[in-house]
Amino acid sequence: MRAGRAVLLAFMVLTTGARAQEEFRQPGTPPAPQPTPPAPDFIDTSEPPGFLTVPVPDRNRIIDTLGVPDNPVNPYHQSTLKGDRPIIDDWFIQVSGILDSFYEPKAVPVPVDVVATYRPSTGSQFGRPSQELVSVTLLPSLSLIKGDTSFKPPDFELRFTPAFNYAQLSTEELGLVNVGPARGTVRDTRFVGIQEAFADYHLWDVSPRYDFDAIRVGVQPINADFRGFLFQDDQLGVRLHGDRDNNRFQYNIAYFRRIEKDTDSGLNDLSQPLRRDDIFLANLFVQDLPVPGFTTEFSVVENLNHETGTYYDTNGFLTRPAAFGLENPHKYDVTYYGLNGDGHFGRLNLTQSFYYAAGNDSQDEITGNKAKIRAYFAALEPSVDFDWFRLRGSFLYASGDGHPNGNTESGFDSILENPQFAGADTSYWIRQAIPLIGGGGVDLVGRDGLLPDLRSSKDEGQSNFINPGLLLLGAGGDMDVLPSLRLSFNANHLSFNTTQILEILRQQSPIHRDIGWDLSGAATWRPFDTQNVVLRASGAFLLPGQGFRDLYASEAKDQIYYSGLLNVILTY
Amino acid sequence: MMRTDKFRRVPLSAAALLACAAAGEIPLAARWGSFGGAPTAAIPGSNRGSTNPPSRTQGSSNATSQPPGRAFLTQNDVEGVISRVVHEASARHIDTTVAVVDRMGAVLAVWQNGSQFTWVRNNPNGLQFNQQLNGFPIPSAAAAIAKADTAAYLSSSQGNAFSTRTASQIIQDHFNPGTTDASSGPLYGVQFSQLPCSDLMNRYSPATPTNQPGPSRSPLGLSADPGGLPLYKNGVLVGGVGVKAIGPYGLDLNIHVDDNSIDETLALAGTIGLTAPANITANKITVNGLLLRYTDVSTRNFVANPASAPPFATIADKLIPVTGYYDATNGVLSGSTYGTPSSGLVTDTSGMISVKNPPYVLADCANNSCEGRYPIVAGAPGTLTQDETAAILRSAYNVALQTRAQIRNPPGSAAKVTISVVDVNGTILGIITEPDAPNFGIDVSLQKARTATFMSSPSAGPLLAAKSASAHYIEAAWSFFNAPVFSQGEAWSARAIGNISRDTYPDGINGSPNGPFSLPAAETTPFSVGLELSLVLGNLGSHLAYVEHPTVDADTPKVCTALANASGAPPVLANGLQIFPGGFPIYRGNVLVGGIGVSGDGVDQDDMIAFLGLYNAGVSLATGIGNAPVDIRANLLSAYGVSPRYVNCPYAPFLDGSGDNVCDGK
Repeated sequence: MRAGRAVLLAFMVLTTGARAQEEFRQPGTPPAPQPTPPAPDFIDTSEPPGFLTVPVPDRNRIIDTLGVPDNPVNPYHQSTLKGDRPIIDDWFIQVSGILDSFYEPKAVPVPVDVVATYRPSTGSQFGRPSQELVSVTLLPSLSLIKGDTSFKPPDFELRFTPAFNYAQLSTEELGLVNVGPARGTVRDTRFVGIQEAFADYHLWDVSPRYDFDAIRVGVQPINADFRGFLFQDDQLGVRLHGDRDNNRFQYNIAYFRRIEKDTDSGLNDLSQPLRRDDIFLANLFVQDLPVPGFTTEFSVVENLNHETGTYYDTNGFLTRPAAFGLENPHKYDVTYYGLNGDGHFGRLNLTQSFYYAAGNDSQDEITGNKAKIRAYFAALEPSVDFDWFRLRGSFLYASGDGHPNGNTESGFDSILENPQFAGADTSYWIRQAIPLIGGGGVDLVGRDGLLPDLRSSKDEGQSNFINPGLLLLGAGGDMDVLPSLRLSFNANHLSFNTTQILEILRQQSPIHRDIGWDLSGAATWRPFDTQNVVLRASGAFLLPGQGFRDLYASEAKDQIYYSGLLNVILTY
Repeated sequence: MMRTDKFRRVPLSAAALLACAAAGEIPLAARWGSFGGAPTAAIPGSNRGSTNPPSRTQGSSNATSQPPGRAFLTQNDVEGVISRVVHEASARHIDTTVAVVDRMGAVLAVWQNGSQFTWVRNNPNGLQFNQQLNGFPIPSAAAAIAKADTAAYLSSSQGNAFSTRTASQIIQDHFNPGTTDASSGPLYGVQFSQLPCSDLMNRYSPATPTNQPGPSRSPLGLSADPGGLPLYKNGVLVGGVGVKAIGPYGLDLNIHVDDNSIDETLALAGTIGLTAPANITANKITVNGLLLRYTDVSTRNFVANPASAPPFATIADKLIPVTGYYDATNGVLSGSTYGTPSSGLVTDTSGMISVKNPPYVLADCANNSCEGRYPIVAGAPGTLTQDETAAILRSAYNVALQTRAQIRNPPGSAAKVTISVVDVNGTILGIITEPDAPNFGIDVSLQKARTATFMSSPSAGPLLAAKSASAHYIEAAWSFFNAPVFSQGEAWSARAIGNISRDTYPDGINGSPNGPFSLPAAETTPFSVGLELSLVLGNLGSHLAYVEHPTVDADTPKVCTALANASGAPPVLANGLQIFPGGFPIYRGNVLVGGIGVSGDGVDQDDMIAFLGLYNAGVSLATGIGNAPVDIRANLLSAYGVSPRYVNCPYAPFLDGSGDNVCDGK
């Protein structure tokens, strides 16, 4: 995109973290011959004598002179709204907007409300699974940027991105859209959240190649690794970030205090007090380690949760502490040590992630004692490209707690996962929240989540390290059949690593480990070969294994659990 | 009002209970005794060390020589329990009352050096002072016996060990207590079972003090006051210990904090050497994913070493008599062995239910010859034949054998319940109980069967409206549903009755109106639940007066509620109304002929065993017997946009993994 480099910078930071800084540089650009001073932003008449100085208009005005008009409507033309031209001096603005709409039909196991009757014929625990979700989110964004960002990071940026969401969830049972059965089966919600509101200040350059340090304060996107396994969110924090050695090293040092989420939209709810949940993060990305083309990330992330109060979500469901085990308020302190990588070894593309989590829980929800947290996680995605076809393999292992009555919690849980892995939101298991019916007020797996972590809510609940863990083995492919059309498919086999905690919660045994097969496919069509209009249709099925059938109706083999998605994303 | 903050002496006039009962709510059958001035009867010399203990037929041998699964409390065991309790109390300079019962509720000893009286915790939010039982003075011994009974009755040998603290957690307006918008405790209302007026529960007979087959009545029903723990020998449930030393007769309102209960600490000291197996205590058992509570205390709380408790002989002079329960002149008794004639439960030899896995039945036994108390019989003409009664019981029993238990460890165990069938008059047509089912279910299953039967009868409304204890509630129901319910023949399950007996409707949703059979939410506690208690409050009052003043006050008749007490009246609700799930009316076609009640496991399990048992029996009998026609069930009614629920069967219902949603469309 030609539109403002600042936008690109911001966008890349948003989507991939500080690592994206490398995108600024032309590959193979030779080092600047004069290490100091750095190239000025504008023609500067105070240049030291001896330089050839010819006073000419800056490039933006040259364009005017050349007769290229400002076009605020088409983002591919010169546009002041897109930061192509300054509004004053070297101040730019960047206006963008995303309209993300989707329709999501699905079938997930649901309980029948036990305190009321909706259909007189129902006399048992499992209700009709069909649900439909319609959601429209408008994300306008305004940035104010100082500095000519074509060839270097901006000096200063202010950005504000609210989100306006409308959603309607239709179900077939009472007690799902709200704890009160009198509220019926359909929920209409409107919510305005603040997804970005930050100032980014360029502290200084530390080399003639614009290696820099900058600090960003406010509500900002953060992703602790390449694929959103641990912590991907838009959160309130302070982040010092920068790079070294011609961008071969990038780092982040950050502190976040988490904002409450709106239950229905998942957007940031700044009308509520901040959560008593702090995250300290430090990471270092090293390019070309161990081989050129592969980037390795070392990270340490500490999550201090002191949420010992009681919190109900907007629909009246107890969220903290989770309705799980003793249901006692508790706090935890866990540190994640991460080793992540992304890149390629020759023709083999590889993304890998490894985390070891160690910490303490003030009160184990099963034993009532203080407990240690010791858990780990590993994920691997190798892929090979054959022209227009990419073949992917997926492997993921999250440790489970095989001894819930012991004093070590060994089930891995994230801070806030948003995994881009094994099909992501195309997949049934990842996309849908599946309630652990009869096992407390927790989900077996959260929405847009991989880990069967038995949390009350992925967005609003505390982490839970007493969980069955997960083993995922899968394969998939991406086919760029046309420049504008990509077809993807994924087949994942899922199983728990241990089911002791499920057997305790459900007072049921045996519960088998086999969750089942998750089969999904997606078509992504970009009619104009750009990201401005993206249409996506996807469908997924869960073919339940014995463990899933143990949990959700033994005739589940006759029940088709599906998840569909029709998605239109319009971007300006 | 006379309640004081001191528990040691509660001065109370004869008018106290009368005044405390909600005006117009209940005509008390007897006046309340004058507690304050009445000395406890002198205890005749009862130094246990010098006389041979009276013992039951099997009571004299050492329990450790019993075959597996058979054990009982010996006199030595009971004495040891009391010694340890007293030793811990003495070290704390606390006076106390302690009772020990066997698994069937026979009182084996009551020891007291403390206050004769305590009082029921008052409701701080109550709009009416001392509403229903709130704030009532009660004998400490009655409290201790009720606590011991509760632990013994709620527990089992192989599945679960529950305490009075467990009971507290599952009878409150939310589960867990204190949670907002969570539905009520699964056993909401169970505290008013095993009542002293129950026609089923046995009474102490002074004539045969050493032979008291159970199940024995409890002076206060079941207790939620921490300080009642079950007693085990070699993994076998043999009884319970109850302690009332400090504070009112209350409950555990906040399960998330340690309430540092002295009563419970003392009781725990008593259990040393007789503790429940660690793998079946309540804190290892979940209900809907939530762990139950067993105790808040541990041996670390002890200030005295239980092993150094003094010999019982040194404290034996503080055994006290409790009218209707225990005669101290006989000293400490030994308990019966569960499932043997002296326990009042014997193996069913009729073969009508199962030859391979015969249930237990209630029996009166003498000279090694037992007579079943409730042999399987036909009901009143036009109701159920004997074959039909047997088929329903058998069918429900077969469902129970396959049912996954909710409250038994290890996970994947079979449910153990009691099944009762009554005819349309509430007459008992048969009661069978699975070996090792918790005993509370015997009385409760009958309550549920009678509740569903009586409330489904079109005469229920007029009858209830005619009694001062219930008129207010039935009128509230008419207005609630804007229909003359209970007089037009709707079919009410115990679950549906429970829905309208909660302090919020729909159940658990804060801020909702109260159900018509409940008091308003602010006035509701486990000691003031509304209609259920109102119907038996007079029975309880007269019984407690009798316990204190047997020469002045008559005991409650052996039938609960004024409905059943009238001359010639059928035994409807004769052991009290019950308001949690597990009871269904039985119909022949469109005609109400009786009811079935199941109790002893999770409420959804109870529901399924009764509902599906009846359904399956109807299919196999093909005589028109079955569940209520779907078009007359109470779940078609609606109030505030919400319909009550008729039946709810559990997830993963069967042990073999087959079936789910097994009750739909039936």
